Amino acid sequence: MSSDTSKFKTVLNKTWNAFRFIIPIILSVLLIVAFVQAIVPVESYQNIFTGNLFLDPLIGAALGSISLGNPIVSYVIGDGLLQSGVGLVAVTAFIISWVTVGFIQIPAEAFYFGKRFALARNVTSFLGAILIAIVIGGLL
Amino acid sequence: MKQNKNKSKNKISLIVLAVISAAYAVLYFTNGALFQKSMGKFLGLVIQIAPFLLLVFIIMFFNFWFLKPEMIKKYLGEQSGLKGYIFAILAGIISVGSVYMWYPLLKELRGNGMSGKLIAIFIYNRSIKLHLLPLMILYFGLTFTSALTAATILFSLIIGLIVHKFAGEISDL
Repeated sequence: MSSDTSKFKTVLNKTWNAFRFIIPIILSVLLIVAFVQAIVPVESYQNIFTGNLFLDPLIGAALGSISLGNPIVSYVIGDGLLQSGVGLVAVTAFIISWVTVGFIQIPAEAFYFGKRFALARNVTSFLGAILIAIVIGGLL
Repeated sequence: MKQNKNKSKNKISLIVLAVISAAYAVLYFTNGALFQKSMGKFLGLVIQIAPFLLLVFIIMFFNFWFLKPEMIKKYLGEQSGLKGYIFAILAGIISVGSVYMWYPLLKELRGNGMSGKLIAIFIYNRSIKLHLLPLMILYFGLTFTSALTAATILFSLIIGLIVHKFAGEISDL
C-alpha cells in the first residue's frame, strides 16, 4: 500500500469522525426550524409591523433572528414588505438578522464554541443588525 | 480527555435529537396535519442543504489533508495580525451553506490555533452571499447592496472585538 493511499484512508477516517458529530445537531435544528415554519407562515410577517420608527427595526431584527433558510427567502419577503409600505430600516434589520443571528441555532453554536461565545456573538449581531439598518436607512 | 469530552457531547446531541423526535411523535398522534406540514418542510430543508453538506465534507477532507497547524497559526492565529482579519473576512464571504455545517471545521481550526475573534469574524461575514449578490441588487438596488456589504465587513471587525472581550478565548474546545 502506497503512503498516499494510506494517508487518504487516514484523512478520510479523520474527516468522517469530525463530520459525524454534526449530523444529529443538524437534524435537530432542521426539525425545530421546520416546525416553526409550519406554525408561523412567512406571509404572516407583514401583519406584525406597526409603522413605528423605533419599534419596527426591533421587530424586523427579531423576526430575522428566529427565521432560518435560504437568504433568497428573506429578499423576497423583504421586497414584499417594502411594497406593502414597511420602512427600509425595518426591512434591512430583518434581512441582516436573517443571516447573522440564529437564536434557534444557539444550542448548536454553544455546543461547539461555548455558551459565552454563542450568546455574545448572537446578541451583538442582533444589536448590530438594528444599528446597521438605522445607519443604512438614514443614509439612503 | 478531549476524546471523552467529544463522546459526551455527541451523546448530548443524540439525546437532544431523540427528545425532538419524541416531540414529533407526540405531534403525529395529536395533530396529524401539523406533523405532515412540519415533515414536508423538514424534508425540503434536508434536500436543500444536502449538497452543501457534501461540500463541507470535501472541504474538511482537504483541510485535514493540506492544512497544518503551523499554517493555521500563521494565517488565522492570535499573532496573524491584519493578514488574519483579511483571511477570515474572505473565507467567510466565499463559504457557502448553512452556518452550523461549518462549526465542526471551525472547531478543528480552533483546535489548530485559529483565534476565537477570527471565528466570530468568519461567521459574521458568512452573511455576505457572493452568489446571491446579483439577486440582492435586483431586489434592493446596487447602492443598498454595496452599502450593506461594506457595513457588514466593517461591523464584523467590531463583532470580533466584542465577542473577544465578552467571551474571551474559546476555552472549552
